[in-house]
Amino acid sequence: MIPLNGKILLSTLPKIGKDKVIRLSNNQNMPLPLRKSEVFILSGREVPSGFWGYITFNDQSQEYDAPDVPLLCLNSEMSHLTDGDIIRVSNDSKRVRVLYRKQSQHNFILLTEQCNHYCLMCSQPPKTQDDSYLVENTKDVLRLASRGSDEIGFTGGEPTLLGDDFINLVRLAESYLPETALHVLSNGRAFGDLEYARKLAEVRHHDLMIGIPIYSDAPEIHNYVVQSDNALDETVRGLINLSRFSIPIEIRIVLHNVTKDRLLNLAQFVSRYLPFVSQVAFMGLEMVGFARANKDLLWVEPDSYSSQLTEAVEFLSVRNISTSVYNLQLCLMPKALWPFMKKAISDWKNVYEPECNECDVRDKCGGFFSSHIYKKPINIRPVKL
Amino acid sequence: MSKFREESEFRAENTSPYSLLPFNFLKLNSGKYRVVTLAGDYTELDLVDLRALVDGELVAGSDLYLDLRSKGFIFDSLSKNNIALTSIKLRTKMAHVFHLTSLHMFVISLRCDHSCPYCQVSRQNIDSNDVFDMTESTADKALDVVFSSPSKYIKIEFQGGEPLLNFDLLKYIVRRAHKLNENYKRNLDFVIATNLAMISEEILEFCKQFGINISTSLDGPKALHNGNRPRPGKNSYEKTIKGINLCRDYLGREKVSALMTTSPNSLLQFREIVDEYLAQGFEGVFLRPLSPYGYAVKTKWAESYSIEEWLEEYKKVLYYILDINMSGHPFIEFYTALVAKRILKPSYTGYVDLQHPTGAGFSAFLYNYDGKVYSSDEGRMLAEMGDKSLCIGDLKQDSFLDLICSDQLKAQVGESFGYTSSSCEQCAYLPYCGSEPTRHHVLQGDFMGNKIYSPFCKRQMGVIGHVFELLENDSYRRILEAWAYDST
Ligand code: SF4
Ligand code: SF4
Repeated sequence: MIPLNGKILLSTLPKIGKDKVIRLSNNQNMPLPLRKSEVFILSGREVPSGFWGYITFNDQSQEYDAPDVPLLCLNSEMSHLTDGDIIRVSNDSKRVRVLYRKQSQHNFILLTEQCNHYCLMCSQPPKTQDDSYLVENTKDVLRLASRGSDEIGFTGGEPTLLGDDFINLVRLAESYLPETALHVLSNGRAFGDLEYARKLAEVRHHDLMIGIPIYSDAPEIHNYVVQSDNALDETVRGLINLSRFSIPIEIRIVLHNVTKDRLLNLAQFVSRYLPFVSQVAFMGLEMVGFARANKDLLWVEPDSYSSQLTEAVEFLSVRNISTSVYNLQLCLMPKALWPFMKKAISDWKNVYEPECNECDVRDKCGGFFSSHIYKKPINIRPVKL
Repeated sequence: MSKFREESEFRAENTSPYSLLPFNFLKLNSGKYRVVTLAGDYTELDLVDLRALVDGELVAGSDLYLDLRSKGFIFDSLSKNNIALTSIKLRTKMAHVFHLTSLHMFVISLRCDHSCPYCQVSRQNIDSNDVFDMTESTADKALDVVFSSPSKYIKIEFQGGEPLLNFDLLKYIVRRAHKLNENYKRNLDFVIATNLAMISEEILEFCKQFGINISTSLDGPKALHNGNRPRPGKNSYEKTIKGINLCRDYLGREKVSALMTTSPNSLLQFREIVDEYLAQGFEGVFLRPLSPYGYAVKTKWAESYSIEEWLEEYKKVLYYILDINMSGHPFIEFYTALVAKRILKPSYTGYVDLQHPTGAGFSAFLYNYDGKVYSSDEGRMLAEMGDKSLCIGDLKQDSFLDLICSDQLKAQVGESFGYTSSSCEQCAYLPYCGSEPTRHHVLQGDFMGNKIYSPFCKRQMGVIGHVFELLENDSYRRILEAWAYDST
């Protein structure tokens, strides 16, 4: 797992009175006029002049005779940082946060931590305080990010709570990253307002997908999971409005004890009323955030719902709705489901168990979240082909 | 202390009672009831549950309750969307009403080299003089009407007689339509309905250039086909097969399709017909019953077998076809596939001859060689037999708007609309079925007809009911799903 938050061991960067979002470089030959808006990653003895700042890891700084340059010294676990990455340096010079990794195909940018849902298994529990600085951070990231990455994501909280700011950020993503797909995680309720959906459509993003969770075809179950009245009705209205503007939609279903019983009904609901969706993703439960607090309520051995899941997935795929399963282990699922099972969505999540070393399909299996130590499925068995 | 609200706080029983959405039902032999919503979602219930549903006595939160609400039989305060969802689905299924006329049939010659007894058209001898051919000025007027239709999809089908007997006009129409379309920018398609006796490389070169499709008649094995379709030389079969292969050489497999017509002789040879279609490399067959028009009426063929007999043979051969699929060779019976689509798919399924409201006129116009316009192929036949009620106008004076708003068309469409007729309104199969104004007009004298005496209705009931039965078997269900979702 690649850490995205790091401690600042030492900073002699200029104070600017607020958080600073800045891009890193290791290009010694960068033309001088460009250097003053970048931070140089020191390696070796060379200290090219003119950068806004310089980064070292741990106490490597001692190796440099004259660190009389503005210096940022980070814990060595951040040494994965590399050219083109974008970080935020906190105003108090205590912490950095990685906002964008150039090498990663899974850059998710947090737009807000506020949310109108309060999901039982939320991995990123919502907060209520003002976090509008995140919008400003995101604008900086979009303007600084190097072109060419396949996909970036917007996540929350609930990004649409930002109203027009959200639409604006989608516009910036389209303007500054015209080759990059944009995936947005939203509960979709805001699009129940046709005008809001229209505004999003009018951005004409070239490759936009809205990932929207639906946890059950039964409103009482969905509403309970997201802890909000009228949620399913409003989300479905949002989906229909998005479809009017042909905005691609992904339906996301998190698998746990409350959602597992009506998977086929849910698949039928999608095919009956939402046949326009581009894809459906079923996801194993990640034991982080609220999911850990609600472990007793939510945990269920994945193999106990494997046949219902297979039925639901087959139902959708026969109907030409592209369907995938994430975050579940091959050995817990029937072979019929394997073609639909994808490796984890993020590149820093895959870890394996001792059993996995014996397993013939380890290279195809997504393995585990690092969070699985809080709950490991009991029936993990190496697969012998 | 928990920050989370309890499950019970979200339940339906905390809210008001449920309301019904429109549905129909039908008693099955098993004693159970097949219950179908207006939008075509279905379930099976026993009498107790059906009563409970209707009487408002379903137990909120029970599996049955959740299921029926999810399928759009009921709605409650948690699912007010169900009304909107039902109407969206219904609207989607009737999308042809918004698109209006997309199929445009041009009868460019009434002359024919064949003399098939079941011909729906009173064809003329091949060397009758050209008063039976369409003229350029009539074709021009027809094309003006074609491009006045708002439909994004335009399919121009050349019919006859034998349309290739007037190939010069065919070329003229194709070229002119292309020219006009530079302006109108529709998805433009052409198809020639031909017996292929006159197909040639020159014609195929032209077809290739303009992407024209070929639709022909193949009634089955040689003896059956030649018996059904007499022509001088008694070689219709040979000419057809040769023609099919020549077309494929030039245009590719998928550009050539064939239709069969059921004659009294073919009824007991369904299996041989399927074998013939397989052997000729077709991806499926369309087992059509005979229509009661034209020569078919004159020869009394139409009455020579009952719909019950047809259904029995249909079911038998369908099992044969399903077995072929199960052995790994995909082969479709297109009418069954259509019904399966109607039952399984939420989307619009385009088939002009089976729509509510009727596709005749709404979705299709037929321009006769003499400039008269009909709502269907059969309309012109009836006109020639003296019944002009399906003639919706004349290109001499009528525009697209005149035609689509003509009293004749309004009568056909309005009077045959199943959703508002006492005959079909309460039928469970209504969402899967369609209107047949012409047939009922011929047999019963009105566009709706009394469905109790309607062979069409009997066939629909039989086929739809049979498809439901097949869907209960997992292996058959898989095949029908593939037919519904993989084919166009
Ligand atoms: S043993 Fe490990 S690698 Fe193999 S399928 Fe199970 S979880 Fe995956
Ligand atoms: S024609 Fe018959 S099967 Fe079709 S809807 Fe009417 S009553 Fe039902």
